[in-house]
Amino acid sequence: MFWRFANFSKNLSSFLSSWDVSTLLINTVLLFFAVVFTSLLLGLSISILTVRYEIPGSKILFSLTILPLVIPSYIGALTYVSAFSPKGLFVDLFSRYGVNEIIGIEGFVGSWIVLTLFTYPYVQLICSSALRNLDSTVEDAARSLGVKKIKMYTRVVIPRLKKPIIYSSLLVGLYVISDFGAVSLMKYGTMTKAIYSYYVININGDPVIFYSTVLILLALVISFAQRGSELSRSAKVSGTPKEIVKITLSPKNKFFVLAFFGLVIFFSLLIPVGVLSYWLIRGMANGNSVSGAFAGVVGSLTAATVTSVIAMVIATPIVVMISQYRSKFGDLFERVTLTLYGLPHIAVGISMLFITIKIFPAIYQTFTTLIISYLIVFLPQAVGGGQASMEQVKLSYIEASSGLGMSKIDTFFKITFPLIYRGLFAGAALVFLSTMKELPQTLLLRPTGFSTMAVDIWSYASEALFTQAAFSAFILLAISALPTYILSTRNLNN
Amino acid sequence: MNKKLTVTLIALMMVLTACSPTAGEQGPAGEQGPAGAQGPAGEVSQAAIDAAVEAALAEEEAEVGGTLVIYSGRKESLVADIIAEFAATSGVEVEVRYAKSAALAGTLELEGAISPADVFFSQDPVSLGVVAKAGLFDRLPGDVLDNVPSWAVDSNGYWVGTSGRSRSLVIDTRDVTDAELPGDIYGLADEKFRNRLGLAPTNSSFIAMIACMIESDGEEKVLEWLTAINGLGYGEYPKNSPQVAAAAAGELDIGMINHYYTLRVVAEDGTAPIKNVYLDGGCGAMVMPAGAGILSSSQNKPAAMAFIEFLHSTGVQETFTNTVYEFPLVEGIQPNALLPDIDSLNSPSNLNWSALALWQEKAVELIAQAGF
Repeated sequence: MFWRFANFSKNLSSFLSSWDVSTLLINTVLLFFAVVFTSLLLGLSISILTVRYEIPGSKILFSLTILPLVIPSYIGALTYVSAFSPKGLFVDLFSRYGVNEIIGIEGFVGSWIVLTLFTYPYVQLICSSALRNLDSTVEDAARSLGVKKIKMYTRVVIPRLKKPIIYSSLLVGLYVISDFGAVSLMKYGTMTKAIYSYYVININGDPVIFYSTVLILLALVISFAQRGSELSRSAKVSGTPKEIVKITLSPKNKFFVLAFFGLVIFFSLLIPVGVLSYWLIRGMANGNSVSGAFAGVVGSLTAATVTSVIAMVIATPIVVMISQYRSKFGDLFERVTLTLYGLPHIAVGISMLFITIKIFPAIYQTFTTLIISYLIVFLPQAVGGGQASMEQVKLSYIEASSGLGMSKIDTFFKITFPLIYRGLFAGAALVFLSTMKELPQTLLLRPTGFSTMAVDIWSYASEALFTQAAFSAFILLAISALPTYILSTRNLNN
Repeated sequence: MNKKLTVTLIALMMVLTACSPTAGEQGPAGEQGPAGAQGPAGEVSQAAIDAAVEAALAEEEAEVGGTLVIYSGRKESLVADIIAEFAATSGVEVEVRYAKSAALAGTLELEGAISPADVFFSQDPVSLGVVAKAGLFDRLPGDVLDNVPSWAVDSNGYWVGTSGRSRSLVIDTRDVTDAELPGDIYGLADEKFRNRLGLAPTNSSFIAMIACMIESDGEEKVLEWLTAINGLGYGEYPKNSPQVAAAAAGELDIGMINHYYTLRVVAEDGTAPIKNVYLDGGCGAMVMPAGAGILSSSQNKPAAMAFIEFLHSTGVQETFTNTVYEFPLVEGIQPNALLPDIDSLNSPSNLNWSALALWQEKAVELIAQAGF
């Protein structure tokens, strides 16, 4: 990619003047900050409320609010466009009350809303688990000293959650800059959307290469900024989390909190699921058949299973190495992993396309290539999952074990693995989910005739075959709900 | 260690990519031309090629079979049944890769000789022209080219039309009268159309129209027009069909589309308050063929040829006109009643599709430059 960039940089000045690079860059960065901010706000509020406060049905609320994780942002965007376009379903529904037209949501605001609604669960997932491991005695002390609630969270809790907050912002932010489905549907011009529009016209053209390079640089800058800010590690996760005493709320506050959860669930879960149901029911009533989903289901399940298993196998030694050789070596691994995660999918897909055609034509358009490119971007999730649990493996355990004469391999299987396998499974579940949702790489690299549910939904929807699209989307959501449920309960029991 | 290996491998791949030549450097197009061509492709007479191809075909006609890989820029919902019927009647195992025509043309260019594709089935002539220009198509035999009118074939015989489609405007009949519409596409850049226009800047037919405008009127005039349209405010759509839906829903007054999207909606709901307006002339009235060609690198040319002939069969031509509402191209097929008489359309005459392919990239650049 970089070489290709260098190759045409001689035309760069004329190029910069004819393409509107700065606007696209500003748009992308603007959306990045907006979505990260609101996702953090939502995800943190939910985390704090479910972990620290006594709320009726908090386990169910936690699971329901994490569930939007399984809704790919392009499906979310599609349902929002359908519901809230100036004469969309919303207007249909309320036309008898005199609503004829509404200001449709699209552009920046539309992308912002939709991306926030389907990315905040990443924050929730990461921050709630960190918060649960965080000793609440400091907060109790602060409270007994009369520190006001809001001040306590901004001064006491959030600073101690710095690491998970930064990590989840990164996850959300990189999702935002590499998303193309939601922004295309909302007609908001970002770098990724530009790559896609040009790729469709000429994959080999300068614009595709140029925008991909800029996007990769942007992702690298973000990843490295994260590294920099992490150096000041302030979040100390206490070794032995105490039993957390939950704070009781007054009935009035309880009502507000429940109303808040109701709103979040309504917008992030009920609206998309409702619109999908409407399409499906309307379509079936009109006699549309919903056949042909089977190949996509098999394709998605195969791809997601293979990717997550391989990711887990590769991640295990990496996790062990990063934590046990806390040296330059381990640091380098961590840095590479994060950088890989930051690579926008469409750019990775295009690079893989070039590489396989030019160097490895034997594996061009094969399942192998597809899995390799999934692994490039999703491996970090598997590593991240294992790393979190690796913190429980104290170096002293390993030393004790080797002191007792166990071999390194024995130590791994008898001591380390039992302690980290849950984390690794959680990481693998995340990889499974991401692979199920993945679209741009799949479109570019899949073998001819191979399909996934994500591809089916995208192509059905782009041909306005909403019944079929809704049917596939439902299956996708149903299958994804299981690993998500495992992720969220693991989080609660931990 | 695995991880490090992976990383090293990737780094290595990148370096190797940098060293290998790109598709365009593999040699002049002629080298990949038809097997019979000794010198530059142009010097061999069409008759000689016909004879050679026909001889080759006659030999293998009985043995059509094996696997056929089709890159289809035509949508799955429109052609899947037709392809399935071909597979069933011919016994050929067919694999289809669906994507946008222009994207597939770019992919074919990138793949060059290693392309797994046998046939490129495109919805627009410009994408076909891009592949022809790259020297990736075999010439088709004269009798196949003669199935359709001469405006719908490549001048070098690299691809052949399979159905016709016209550019048109879809209008919301509640808000737009015929009288206020201009005679040609340039007339749309008028203050009275402020915030009333719709277009799909990445749609390959729209880009083909812009390429046609550059070819006939020059870059400057086209850029001026695009900038003016942008200045008027417009609805941006990812493609044609949502424009028709928007016009029917009353959200859009005038959309720049291909004709059949409107007819499909009208065929389903006769009361839909929309209709097509065909401009009097110029590129806004262009009639384009969708078509197909056979890749030189194909491993199964007999099946590829059988597929193209199948697309010209009466049954398929009738499907094109009666379910997709396109113009049939093979003589003797009755066009659907919703279609205007193709002879009444004032498409620019003697359009050279290969020349338009040359303008494709410029068209995209101008569209971007105008701020779309």
